[in-house]
Amino acid sequence: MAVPALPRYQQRRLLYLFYCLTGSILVIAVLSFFSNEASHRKNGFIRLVPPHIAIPAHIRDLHANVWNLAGGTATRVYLSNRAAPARLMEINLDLKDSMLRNLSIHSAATRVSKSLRVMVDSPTICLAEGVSPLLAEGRLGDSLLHRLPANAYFGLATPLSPASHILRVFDTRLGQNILIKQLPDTLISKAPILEKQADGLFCTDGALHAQPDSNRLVYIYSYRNQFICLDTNLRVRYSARTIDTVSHVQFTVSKIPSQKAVTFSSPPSFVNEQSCVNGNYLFVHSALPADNEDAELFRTGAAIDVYSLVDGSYLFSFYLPDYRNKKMRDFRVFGNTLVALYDHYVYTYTLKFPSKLKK
Amino acid sequence: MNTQSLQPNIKKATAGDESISTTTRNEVLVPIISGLLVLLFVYAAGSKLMDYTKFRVDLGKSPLLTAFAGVVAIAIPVIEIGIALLLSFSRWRLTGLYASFTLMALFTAYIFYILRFSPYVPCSCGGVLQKMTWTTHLYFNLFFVVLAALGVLLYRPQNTAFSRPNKFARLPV
Repeated sequence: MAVPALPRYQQRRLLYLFYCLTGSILVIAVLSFFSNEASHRKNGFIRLVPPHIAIPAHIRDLHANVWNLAGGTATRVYLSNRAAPARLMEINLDLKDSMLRNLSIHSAATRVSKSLRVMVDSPTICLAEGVSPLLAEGRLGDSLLHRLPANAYFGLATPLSPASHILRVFDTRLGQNILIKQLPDTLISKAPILEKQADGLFCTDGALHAQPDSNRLVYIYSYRNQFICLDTNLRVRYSARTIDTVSHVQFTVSKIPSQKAVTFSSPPSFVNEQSCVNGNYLFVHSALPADNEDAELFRTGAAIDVYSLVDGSYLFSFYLPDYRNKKMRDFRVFGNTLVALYDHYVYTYTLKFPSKLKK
Repeated sequence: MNTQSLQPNIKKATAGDESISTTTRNEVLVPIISGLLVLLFVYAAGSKLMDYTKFRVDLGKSPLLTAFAGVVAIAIPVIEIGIALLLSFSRWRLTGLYASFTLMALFTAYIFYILRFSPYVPCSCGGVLQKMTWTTHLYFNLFFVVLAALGVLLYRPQNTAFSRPNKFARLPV
């Protein structure tokens, strides 16, 4: 008992210090109470989760977390290497046989860049890097890519057919992202299809998926509950909503002059994370838990919502649980196989859709 | 021989310590502690105001402060400068030490919350402090919390005859 040995005034001060400490902790406790209220509010939608949709099939260790999904067919998947863009791995969907290809680019150097994407729509390979900008195309047979003219900086590029691409570019006059179609000799742009809600750059961010065989393009926003279905000439077929209720982007952006940057000034609320299309289905990894959902199940897995691309209606959902405490970082569906990447693992699932829900 | 000559020295030192402790505290330790705190607060407030936009934007991303970012962004540098002023005048020094303790405890509790409970860890803080990880920052803050508490405890006693500054103590009452 050292306290009684202290002079009276020090005892009194210790008590005051204790009050100050309690006060500080209380302030943080009250703040955390309010922030929990805000982050645990109900999202106002429910998921339908029929059992046994995604059945685990195969798993393979890729040894390094450098592989991204580039494309695939009903029998094989192509993985691009973000550390060495010239490398392309081809794996059968049973994940047993693999083959490594080395791409070479005619008359252009590639640099390792975050914005570089390799896309394989067998037998076409497309390499796109919107900051340079660089667009190159080739065929899987000879692995030789030829550079295409790229006159505009672009955020996203998706190949449609040889020498024909859909690009998402930033229109400085309109102050927002727009979609354009690039043909060998012309650029086709329509009235802005993407709808500006806030800053025009972040608020229109999303993912672009092309299904040239079905004459279909899908653009899905990242920060609001909306996707647009277009034909390959950029005519809107319909616009539909994902099941959550975030119809307007929820963030603010600010300019930081000292860093010449535009950044979020509030935590951005992601709505739709990775997504992909296959056949008449759109698969969306949703960032929002539903009201009828177990919080733990949502926290330790990825909720995938399935929509019909015929009319944009919601069908059902399923979960991809975390693998070895790693979150699913990207996924694609080829035929009835879902290929997911977790850190340095590739994991396949067999999809069995309920016959009643098939469209 | 060495031991013999050392022992008296030690005794002297301990005996002397008791008799001069009040003076040492008031004239040396408390000013050093206050000085360190003033430096910290002036630097912290300065680096925030130098790039105010970035500070406000960073605060907005904090999981705890999103709703109050505007108010907090103004209040924090103002309070920091206020405390530095309190510490600079001996008349207000004890109040300043209490205030420093409270503010640093508040910052520490905030960091502890972020590290322990937050769904994600945002980035903030200016200047040299930006280079610290959140854990380093936690220890850095704890050090200043303890320092401010020491300052409060060592500060000369108040409301007693010997508590007054020396020049007044010598005057006849």
